[in-house]
Amino acid sequence: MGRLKTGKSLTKRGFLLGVVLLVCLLMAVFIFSFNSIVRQRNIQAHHLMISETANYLAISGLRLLSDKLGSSYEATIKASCPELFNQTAEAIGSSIDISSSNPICDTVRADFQNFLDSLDELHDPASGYPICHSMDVRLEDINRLTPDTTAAQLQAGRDPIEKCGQIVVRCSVEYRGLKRQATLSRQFRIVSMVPGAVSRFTLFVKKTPYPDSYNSMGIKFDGAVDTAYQHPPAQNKTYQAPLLVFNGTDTVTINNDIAERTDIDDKKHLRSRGWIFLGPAGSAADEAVFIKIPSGFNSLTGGHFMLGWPSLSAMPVLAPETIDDPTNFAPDSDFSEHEYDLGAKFQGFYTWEDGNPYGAGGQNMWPGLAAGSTFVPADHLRSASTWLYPFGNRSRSSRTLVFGPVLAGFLKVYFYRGKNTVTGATYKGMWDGMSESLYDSKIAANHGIESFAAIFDAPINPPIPGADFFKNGYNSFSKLMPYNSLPDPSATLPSNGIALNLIFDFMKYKRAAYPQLLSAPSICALSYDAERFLVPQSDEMRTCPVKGIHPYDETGIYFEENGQYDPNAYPDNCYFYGDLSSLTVFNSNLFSNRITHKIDLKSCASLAEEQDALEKFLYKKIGNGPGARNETDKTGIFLIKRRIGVTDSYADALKISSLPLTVMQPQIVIFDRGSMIIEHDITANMVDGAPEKLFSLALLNGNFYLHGSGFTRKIHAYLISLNPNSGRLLKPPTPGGPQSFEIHGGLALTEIGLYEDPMTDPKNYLGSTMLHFTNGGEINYNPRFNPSSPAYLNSRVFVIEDTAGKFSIEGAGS
Amino acid sequence: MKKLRFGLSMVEIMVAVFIIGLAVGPLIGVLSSSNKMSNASIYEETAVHYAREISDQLLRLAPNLNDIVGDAQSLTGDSSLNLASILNDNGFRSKLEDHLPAAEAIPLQVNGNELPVRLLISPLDPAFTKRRITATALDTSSNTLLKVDRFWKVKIELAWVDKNSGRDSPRKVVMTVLLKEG
Repeated sequence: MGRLKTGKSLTKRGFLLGVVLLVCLLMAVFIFSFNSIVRQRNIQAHHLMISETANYLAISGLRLLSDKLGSSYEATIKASCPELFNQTAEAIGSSIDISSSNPICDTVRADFQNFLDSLDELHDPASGYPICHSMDVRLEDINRLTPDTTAAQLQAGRDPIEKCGQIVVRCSVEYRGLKRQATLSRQFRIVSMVPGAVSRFTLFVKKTPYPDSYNSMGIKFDGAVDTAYQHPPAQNKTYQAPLLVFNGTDTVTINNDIAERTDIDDKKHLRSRGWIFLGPAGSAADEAVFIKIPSGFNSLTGGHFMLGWPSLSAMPVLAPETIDDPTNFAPDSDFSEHEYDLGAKFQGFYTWEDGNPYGAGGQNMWPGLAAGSTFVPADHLRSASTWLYPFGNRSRSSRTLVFGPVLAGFLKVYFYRGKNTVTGATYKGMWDGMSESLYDSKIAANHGIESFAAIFDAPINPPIPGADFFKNGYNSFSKLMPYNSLPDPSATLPSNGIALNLIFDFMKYKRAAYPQLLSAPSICALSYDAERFLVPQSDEMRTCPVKGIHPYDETGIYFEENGQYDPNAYPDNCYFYGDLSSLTVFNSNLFSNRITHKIDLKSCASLAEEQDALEKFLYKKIGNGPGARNETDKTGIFLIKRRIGVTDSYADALKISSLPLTVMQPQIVIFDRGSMIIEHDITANMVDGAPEKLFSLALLNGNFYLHGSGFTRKIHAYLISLNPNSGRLLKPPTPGGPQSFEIHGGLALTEIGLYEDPMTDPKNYLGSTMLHFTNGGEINYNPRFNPSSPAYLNSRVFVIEDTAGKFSIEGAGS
Repeated sequence: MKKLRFGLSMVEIMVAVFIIGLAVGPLIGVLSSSNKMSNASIYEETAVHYAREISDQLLRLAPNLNDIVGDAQSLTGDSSLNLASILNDNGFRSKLEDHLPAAEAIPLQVNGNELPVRLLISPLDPAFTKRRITATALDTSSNTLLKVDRFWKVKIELAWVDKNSGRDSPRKVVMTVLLKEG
C-alpha cells in the first residue's frame, strides 16, 4: 500500500516535470519559429532591397534604350528592317527581331554597362558591379492598318504598307546575383506622313462659286497688272499679283537650246509634279470652271504664253489662222496696188520665248512680223484674267494635269500684212481694240485702216479707207479686235469649249506636234492608251464631250505606273479611287486608323490654356526673347480635341504656334473643331528645293487665318480644310496680317474663289481667299507629298502610340 | 502514523525552476534577438519603400527633365544650372529630411526658388536620420551612343538608427537610378 502511494507521488512528480519540459519545448518551438520567420523576413527585406535596386537599374537601362530608339528610331528601324516600310504585313511575317540585325542594342548595352561600372556605392566585394546582361527589341503582332479594300476605303485613301504592331523592349540586369528583367511593350504604327489623297495635288479646291470665279485680275496688253481695273465681284478691289502655282521643284527654262521632250520625259514629268483639282462651279456643282489665260510679257504676271514652240522648225504648225471673210472685209482686189492678208493667233501665257521679249509683237506670231515700236502696252483686255496661275510663270514653267471641268479662255490677236504691188513696200500690223463710238468717229473722219491698227511696219500707201474695208461697220471691225475666247457658260457640265489640259498638251509636248485646237486633240489620241501614261481615266478624257477635260468624280491615284489600274484587281497599287469633290478630312484615311496621338484639350478652361497645352505637347521651345522659336520634336498624326463649344470663328481660333515654328520632325496636326491661326512662319530645312520634313495642318471644321507681321507668310506645310461649311484661307477680321502667302507643300480648301454676287456667299461675312489676298501668293508643291513618287517611301514613319503601354519587371532567369 | 506527503519538495521545485531557467534564458535571448532583427527588417523595408517612392517619381519625370532644368534656368536667370543643381539643392535636401506629420508634395527648388514640379514624400519615420538624393554626372567619354546628352547617376540614400538594436551606428539603404537630361 505504501509502495503504491509512493508510486503515485513519483508519477505526479514526473508529470510535473513533463509539463515543465513541455512548456519549455513549446516556448522553444514558438520562439525559434518566430526567430526563423524574422530571419526569413530579414533576408526578404534584404532581397527586396537588392531586387528593387536591380529593378530600377533595369528600368533605367530600358529607358535609356527606349530613349535612344526614340531619338533615332526612324534610322534604327529603317536600317534594321527596311521591309517594314515597303512591304505589306503579310509579306514580312508577324514579328521581327531588331537587335539581331542592328548593333544599337549591343552598343547601348555596352554604354550602359560603362555606367554601371561607375556605381561604386553598389559594388559588392563578392559579385562586383551590377551587370547588364542583355538589351533587345522585337516587333511583334504586326498587322495591316487598312486591310479593307472596299469602295469606301478606297474613297478615303489607303496605303497597303501602313501597319500596326507591338514593340517590345527588354533590359536585363544582375545585381548581387539577382537578375531582373524590365520589359516595355508599346503599340506602334507605320504610317505615312502624307495626309491623304488631296496631297497628290498642289492645289485642291472642292468647289467653285461660279464659272468666272477665278478671273479677277486686270492685265494690260503687255502683261502688266492693270491697277486701274476694279473687279466688281471682289468689292471693286484691284488685284496686284496672281496666285502662282508651281507644281514641282524642278524648273526648266524653255529656250531653243534645250532638247525636245520625249514621251518618257513626259511620263516622268507628269508623275513627279503636283496636280490641280478645281471643283465644279455653281451651287449645284454642275457647271464648268473658266480659266482666262492672259496675254503678256510681264514676269510678275506670268510672262508670255504661246501655244507652241516658237522655233523656225515648227513654223508650219505655228502658222496663224488665215482669215478669208469677204462678208466682213473687202478683199484686196477691191483696192488698187494692194495685196494683203488677214491672220489670227491664239495667245496666252506659259512658255517664255528665249530672245523674244516682245511676245505677240515678236517673231513667229506672224511670219516676218517684227516688234513694233508703236505697240501700246496699256491696251486692255476686255475682261479680267485669272488670278490663279496654275502653270507657274515665265521664268519657272510648271505644267501639270488639271482635274475638273476646267475650260480655257485665252487671248486671240489679229494681224494683217500687205505690200504695194507697184513699189513692193511692205507693211504689217496688229489690230487694236476700241469702242464703237471711237470707231464711228474715225469712220466719220474718213480714217484709213491704219488708224484702226496697233502697229505698223510701214504706211499703207495708197490708203485704204476704213469705211470701205469694214463692210459691216463696227461689227466687222470687232471681229479683228483682240479678245478673250470664252467657252459658252452652261447650266450643265461642259459640252463645248477648250479643255485646259488640251491647251497645255501636257502629255505630248514636242516641237513637231503642237495641238491643233480645232482638230482632234492629241492628248486623247487612241495611240496613247497603249503607252500606259500615269493618267487615270484617259478613256474618259477621250470620250468627254470636251476632249481633254479630266473627270474628277471617278478618278484614281496609283502608286506605280505599271498598268495595274483596276482597283478591284490590284487594290494595293491604288492609293485613292473615288470622287474628289466628296473628300473631307473626316472621311479621309486620316480618320480611319492612322491617328497616333490624341491631345484632349476639353478640360482646358480657356483659349490660353489650350494654346499652352498644345504647344507644350507638340513642340520644344528653343531660346528665349525675340529669337525664341518652337520646334516640332515628336513624329506622328495628332488629333487635337478642342474645348466643347468652340466654333469656327476667329475669336475661338487656336494658333498653331505662338512662336516661329521650325519643322524638325514630321507631323500631321488635325483640329477636331475650330479654326487655326498661322501667326508666324512655319519653315523646314529645304532639300532638293522642297521641305525635307513633311508637315500638314488639317481642320475638320474651320478656316485658316494668316496673321502676324510681315508682307508674306511663309508656310512649309500642306494646309487642308475641306468641310463644306468652312474651309477657307483668310486674313483676320481685324486689320493687319500678311498680304500674301508662300506655301511650300500644298493647299486643299473647300473654296477660294469669288462669288459673282458676294451677297450670295453663305459665308459672306467671312469673305474668301481671293477677296482677302489681292496681292496673291505662291504655292510650291512638295513632291514628297506625292503618293505616286518614289519619295513617298520616305514619308512612312515609325510612331510609338501614346496609348498606355505595358510595363513589367520579372526575374530574368539564370 | 506518518502523514503521507503528496506536494513537491523544495529541491524538486528548485530543480524545476532551474530547468525552466535553463530553457527560458536562451529562449528569451533568441526572442530579443529576433525582435531586433524584426525591427531591422522593418526599417530596411521601410527604407526601400521610401527609396522606391522617390525613384518612381524621378523616372516619371525623366522625359521632362529638360523642361524642369529650363524652368530653373529661366527662373533664376542662371543658364549654368543643371539637374544636379536642382536635386542637390540644400533647401530641397532639408525638406526631404524633415520629419513631416503627413505626406506632403515638396517642390523641387534651386537657390531658394521653388520650381513648379513637386515630389510627393511620405512622412519620415523618426528613426530615419537621412533621406537624400544626390545627382552626379556620369562619365560618357568611353561610350559610343549614350554620350551626346548629359547622363546622371541619381543616388537615393536612406539611413536610420535602430536604438533597440543596441547599435548607435546608422544603417542605410542606397538605391540608384540613371537618368538622361537633354
